[in-house]
Amino acid sequence: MANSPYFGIAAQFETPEALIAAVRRAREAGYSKMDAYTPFPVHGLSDELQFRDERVPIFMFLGACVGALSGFFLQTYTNAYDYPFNVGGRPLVAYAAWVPVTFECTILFSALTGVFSMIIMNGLPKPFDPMFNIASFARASQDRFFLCIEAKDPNFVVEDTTTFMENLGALSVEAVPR
Amino acid sequence: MSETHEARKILDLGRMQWGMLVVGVVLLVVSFALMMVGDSSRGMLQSYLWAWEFWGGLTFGCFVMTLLHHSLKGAWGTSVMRIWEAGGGAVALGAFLLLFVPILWTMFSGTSILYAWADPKIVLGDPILQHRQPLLSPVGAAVTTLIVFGFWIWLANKLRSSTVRQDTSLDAMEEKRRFTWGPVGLVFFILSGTVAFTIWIMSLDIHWTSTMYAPWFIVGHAFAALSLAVFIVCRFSTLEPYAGIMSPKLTLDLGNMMLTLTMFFTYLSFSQYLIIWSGNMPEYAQYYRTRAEGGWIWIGLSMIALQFFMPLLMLVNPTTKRYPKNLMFVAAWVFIVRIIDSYWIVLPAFPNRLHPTPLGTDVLAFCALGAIWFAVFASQIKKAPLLPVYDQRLKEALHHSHA
Amino acid sequence: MAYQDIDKVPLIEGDQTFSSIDRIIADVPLQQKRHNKKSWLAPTGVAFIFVNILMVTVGWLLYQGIGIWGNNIPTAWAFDIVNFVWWIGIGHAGTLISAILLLMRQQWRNSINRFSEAMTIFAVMCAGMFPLLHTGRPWVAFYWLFPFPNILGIWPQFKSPLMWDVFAVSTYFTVSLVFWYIGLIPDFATLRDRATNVPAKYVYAFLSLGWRGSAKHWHRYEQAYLLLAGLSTPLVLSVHSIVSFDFAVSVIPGWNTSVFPPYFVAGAVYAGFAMVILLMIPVRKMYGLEEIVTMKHFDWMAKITLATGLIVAYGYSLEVFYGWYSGSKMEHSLLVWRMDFLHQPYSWAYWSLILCNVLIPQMFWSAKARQSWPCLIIVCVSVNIGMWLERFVIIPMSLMNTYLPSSNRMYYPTIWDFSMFFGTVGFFIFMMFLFIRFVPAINVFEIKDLLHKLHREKASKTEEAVATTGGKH
Repeated sequence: MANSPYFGIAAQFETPEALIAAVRRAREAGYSKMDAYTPFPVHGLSDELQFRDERVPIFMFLGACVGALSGFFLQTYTNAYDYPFNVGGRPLVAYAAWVPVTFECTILFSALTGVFSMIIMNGLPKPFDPMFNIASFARASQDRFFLCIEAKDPNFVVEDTTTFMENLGALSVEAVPR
Repeated sequence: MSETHEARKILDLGRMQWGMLVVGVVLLVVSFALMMVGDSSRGMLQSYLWAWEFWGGLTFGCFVMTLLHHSLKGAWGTSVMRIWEAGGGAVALGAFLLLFVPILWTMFSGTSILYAWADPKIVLGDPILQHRQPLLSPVGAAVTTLIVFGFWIWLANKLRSSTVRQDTSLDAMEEKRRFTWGPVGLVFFILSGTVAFTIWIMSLDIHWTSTMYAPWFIVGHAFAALSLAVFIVCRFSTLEPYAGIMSPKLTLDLGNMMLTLTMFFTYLSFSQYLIIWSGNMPEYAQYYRTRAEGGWIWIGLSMIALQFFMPLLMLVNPTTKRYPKNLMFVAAWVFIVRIIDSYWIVLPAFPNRLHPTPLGTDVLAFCALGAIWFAVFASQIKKAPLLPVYDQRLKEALHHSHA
Repeated sequence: MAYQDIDKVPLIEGDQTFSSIDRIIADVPLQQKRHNKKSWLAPTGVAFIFVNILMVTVGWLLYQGIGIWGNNIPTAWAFDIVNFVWWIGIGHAGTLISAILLLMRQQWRNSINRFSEAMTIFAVMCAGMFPLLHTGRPWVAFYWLFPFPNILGIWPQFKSPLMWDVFAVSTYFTVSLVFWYIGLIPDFATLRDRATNVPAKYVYAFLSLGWRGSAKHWHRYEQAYLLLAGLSTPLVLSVHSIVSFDFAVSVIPGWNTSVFPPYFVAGAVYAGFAMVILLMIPVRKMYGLEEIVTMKHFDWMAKITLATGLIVAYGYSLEVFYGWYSGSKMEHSLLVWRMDFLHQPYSWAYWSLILCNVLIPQMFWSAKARQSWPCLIIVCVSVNIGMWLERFVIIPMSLMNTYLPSSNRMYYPTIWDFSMFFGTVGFFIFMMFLFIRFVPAINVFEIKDLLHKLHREKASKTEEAVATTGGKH
């Protein structure tokens, strides 16, 4: 249903438990392209959606490695090669004295990589999203838990999916315009 | 559920008591004999002091971890508390007070076999040693040692009998009382330990002082005590009672505690080194200088990799902390590296130990005291259940996660 | 307030729901009229006067030069560095609360972490002003503060702890800021969705980056947040250790002390927690947050204050013990200079520090004192004064008493030293009140998460109780 006028069908639930149960039933019914929207991180929800993404920790580890190397290189290059300067007879490449700055660079690079990779992979900043088209969605950041089965799902048929979701015990079911 | 539990094997750490005791006593007798023989006396005593520092330090480490557990009351601590109680209890501390006698004897011998300040001739020519006489004299050292050990033994006994009592009475007031004694005890242990470790070990390097020394020493031995306890729990994770509490959350907590101490110990070691290296004052820098000469430097440098990077890289990986087998490997690694590190801290202080070649006497003393340590440990661990009966938090947590 | 058994005090009081939490916390910045009362205007106005004093001081300083301060050789570092270290230390409690307690799964942190993170950021801003202005002309000081290729062809000297400091403090500020902002994104989304005022809606929408609470987003968000906490923990230790290296790696008696790093870190946390308690007491009253920040939080914070205070006291005893043990003339003369209250002019600073940092806080051993407002306030004020005095004793007092008696000079602060210090205090309070007015001072989504967890725990307990009583029948 690629040319559907709708982004998907959204159902609103009152508790996280109801949402998790709904996700499970939707998956059992064969739906795969869906997302849940909650005011706070709900434990176990991403497992239920069969969503796993381990790239943030990996990027952060790589960021840490790059940070450590660049911190060390910066000090060695500037203080031992480009501008060698004798300080109290200490060696030009003073490993012990290099540790603090190397450490700080490790942390800085890793932290910034983590934050930016999280924001970019989440597709943010994104001021407009189809989900904002339904008025009740304002409560997704407050006290309601939403499940949206998206139109790109192969099993998506507006009427069938709406009926299916109405049977999930949702507070309301709405079609989300594109 | 209960049927499968009964079918599982039960861990019996007390079994090794008599075997270890026999081995320990035999080796100890040989060590004492070598101390009496003129030629080997000096080397034997030096090796003995190092062995006493390591195994005694492990005892103090267990004791300080017990105090810490009673101050924090963390659920993960109940899995290892009984190991620390046995390893750092009143009997273990008493044993190491007795084993201190040969060292005390060198202090009163009027020679500088171990401590330069024990030789009146050296003290006469050294104003700093004269200034330290109230503490660094045979009598001062003996009195301090006795007071310090007396206090520790009293406190260890008080806490241990309280947990054992609570196991039968299930009286929560005992725990409340320990929660008061834990932090107070910790404060006094650290204060008294600072003075004691200064006399026992720091004064080997005659003029050297470092304010970081006592925290560094205490954390290092606590690290060894933690790794031994984690090793035992993980090694016997399939046997009862540990099988009944083993969960990924527990191994994660224990692994994170290991990770914390890995980083904290390195932080203390590195800070002390950097400050002394950068200050470059003769009386302070000589400590690292003697430990960087004649091959000792390779031990010192290898510690950066073995004691920091290896455990760090293993422990930041979540898979290491998920399986007891992996964690057991890290714990064993840390324990062995702690032995080497303590060797590097103690022995280069002696002017005749120019190279890090282990002597036969080192091995002998280390095995003798180690066997005694485990004999005492075994005799104590079998006197109480391996897991405290009164604290069922770990079992409950596991029960909840299954339900 | 009657004494309570702290184990029985809940983390969230009252009968709360997700929307009641929104009403309590999220509506504070949305209902701007609530702030137009004396309780907000008076402290903010007074703080603003001090901000002006700060601006005048800085203006005069830039015009006239740092000669307006009292420090001069041999006391090259005095109030400026004392205040720098004091402010950085206060900031550390924020990182500690948000990062270490998150890793330790301490649920009580959720009510206070946002507030203390804000404190971190403003405290680091105050701290940063001092060394920057101590350079006299900060805009020409860049080439030796930051490594960039310049036409002079020179580079900063990385064997100097001052360079480590530049990296540590700037990393610390950056990481604290992104950590704080990351925590705020979902809350800005809540504010966006609750705001009725259109400009406010736009501002919060912009700040929220279009956050819509997708489960996939939360998955990555939590990974990044937890790892950031994991990074912040060693970072906070390293920052104050590096601050302590500023002194410890030199050879000034009283500075070249190897225990400085952990002892400084403990001191920082000590003053920081005292400051959180001190600021939280009025704020929770003013904005009706008593149900979210309960006595349990104060009890915990008081315990940590006591624990870090004991570490600091241990540091003092180490200095005295090894001062005696070393048998060094310099160390001995330093002890006399600090402690001889009959002859030495600044010994009052040392003894007041012992009173403020070691003696008074021992009150916190008693659970009753930890729950009494007067005791909490007295101890926390005294800790903050004591920690300031500690830095005074360590920094200028060590410089006044050096190896060569001929170079010893007394140091006296000038009026500009004081105006700069109190000016930054005013700036800090001013920023805190702006923060309370425009940003949710308590983490909304984490409190909802906590509420959900507490409800579930309660539910499973009642279920169990039903099961056991059912079994008996």
